[in-house]
Amino acid sequence: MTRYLKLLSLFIRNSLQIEMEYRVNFAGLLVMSLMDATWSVGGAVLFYSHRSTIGGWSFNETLVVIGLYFLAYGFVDMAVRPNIDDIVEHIRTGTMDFVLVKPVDSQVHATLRRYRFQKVASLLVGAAIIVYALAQLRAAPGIGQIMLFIVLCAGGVVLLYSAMTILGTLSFWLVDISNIDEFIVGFLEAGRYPSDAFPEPVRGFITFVVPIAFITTVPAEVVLGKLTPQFVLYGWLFAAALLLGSIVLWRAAVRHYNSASS
Amino acid sequence: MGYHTRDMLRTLRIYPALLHAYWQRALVYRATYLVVLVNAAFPLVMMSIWIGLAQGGAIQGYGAVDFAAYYLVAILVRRITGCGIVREIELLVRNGDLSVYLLRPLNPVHYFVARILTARLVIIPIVAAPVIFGMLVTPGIWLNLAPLNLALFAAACAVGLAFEFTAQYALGGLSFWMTQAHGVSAAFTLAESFLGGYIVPLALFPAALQIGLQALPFQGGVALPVEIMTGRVTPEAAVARILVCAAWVVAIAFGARLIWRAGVRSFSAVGA
Repeated sequence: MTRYLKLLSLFIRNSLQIEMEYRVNFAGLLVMSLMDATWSVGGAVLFYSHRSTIGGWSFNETLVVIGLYFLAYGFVDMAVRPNIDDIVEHIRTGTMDFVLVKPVDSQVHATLRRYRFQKVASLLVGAAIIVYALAQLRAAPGIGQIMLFIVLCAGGVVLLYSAMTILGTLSFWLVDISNIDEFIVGFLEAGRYPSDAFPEPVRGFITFVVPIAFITTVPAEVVLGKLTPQFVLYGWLFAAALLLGSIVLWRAAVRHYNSASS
Repeated sequence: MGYHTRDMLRTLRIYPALLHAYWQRALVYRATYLVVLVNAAFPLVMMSIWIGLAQGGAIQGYGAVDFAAYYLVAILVRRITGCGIVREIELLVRNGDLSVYLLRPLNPVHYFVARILTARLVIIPIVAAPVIFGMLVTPGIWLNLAPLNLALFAAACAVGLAFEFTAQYALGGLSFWMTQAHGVSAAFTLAESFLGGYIVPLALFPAALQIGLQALPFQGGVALPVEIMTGRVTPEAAVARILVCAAWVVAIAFGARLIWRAGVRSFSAVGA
């Protein structure tokens, strides 16, 4: 275990070093995130210019969900997508062999290897929106709420990581699926607004079938004190099952793999 | 025959072959177009929310069915008018491969035109099938399919595509001087989506803003063709707005030409 933690910190340091070589576009990425946030918030402004509450959510409460969307998107962009892109590229060019012969768990090495820290811009924008919204609401979450919030965010991280890894692993069979990560990012779009804002059956779909609600809406409910405990449990069970699924699928994929180069 | 006429005729003769070549290329990459479907489905998010809101009564004349019609048509229109060429131009400029195109006796713009037009032929059927299915299973959707209106729709789509293409060609030309042209174009796309009716119909913006947005070319990308198709614009207003967009396109095309001339000159000066 400590060996893997050491390895992880090595990966992170290495990614940082590479990043420092090309540190031009942080400002650009920040501007992009701000523009993206502008339309997301702008959309909410337009919703609320026609209705005073939406699915029981006020404007400022919706802002918390929007902030969480940017946290989730930032995490995917920073930590998950670079690795999935690498996996697809490794398989296409045959360099996956070099990953598989390393004396560490190949899934750990393939999926936790690379980070693009410049994408932290989205995280900053998301955090700023949440802090602003909570200040507007004069909401001060207690210690218990904050703990639960962190537990939920961790669940969201596991969920996103597992879903992305499963998609990336598919490239062992499908080879040329260079932008498969767009699938998750596309689905994540539904997390920009509270799941209660959607009519049924969409609401049920994003709560239970593809539980995007668990990533943005449920953590927001916790800090706003409008939590539904069943959803927390369901979301975490779903995330755990998906993580297990990603491990099983990865093992099957590696067994199936017989290299492009040999 | 003047020099220009001859030149133009020659270009026209080249076009069938050019289109055929890029059509073959588009077919090779058809697997990745499936991912386009997920991207294309994006308006469904906003559609669902508005439909939910409209259950408490129509909003600015839009009922639940109207929102369904608007966003379903928007999905299709976006595939007709949207194009991404900036990153490709940027790569060609950065690694010097653009010189191959510059050596050829045809202006490089034609290669991009051919690629964009043929890509449309592959993408539109893929997206149109589920959209049409969605319209058929949604009771009460009404589209204005009168011949005159379809002609206006086609004209609006054409001007929308022309706007998108010329704007992106101009932005791509910036990569002769900067390394982050694709960042600028991403910002452009975000602004266009919001100001052009892709995310929210223009009718739901505050009235003062609507007037401003109808004077901008962004509407050509989604709002104008969709409003025509869903029967929300009179023919006179549609023609006026198409002309506004066309005027913008001419101005932007002129700007793109200037950018590319200056860019190509500085590019050869580097000697790549």
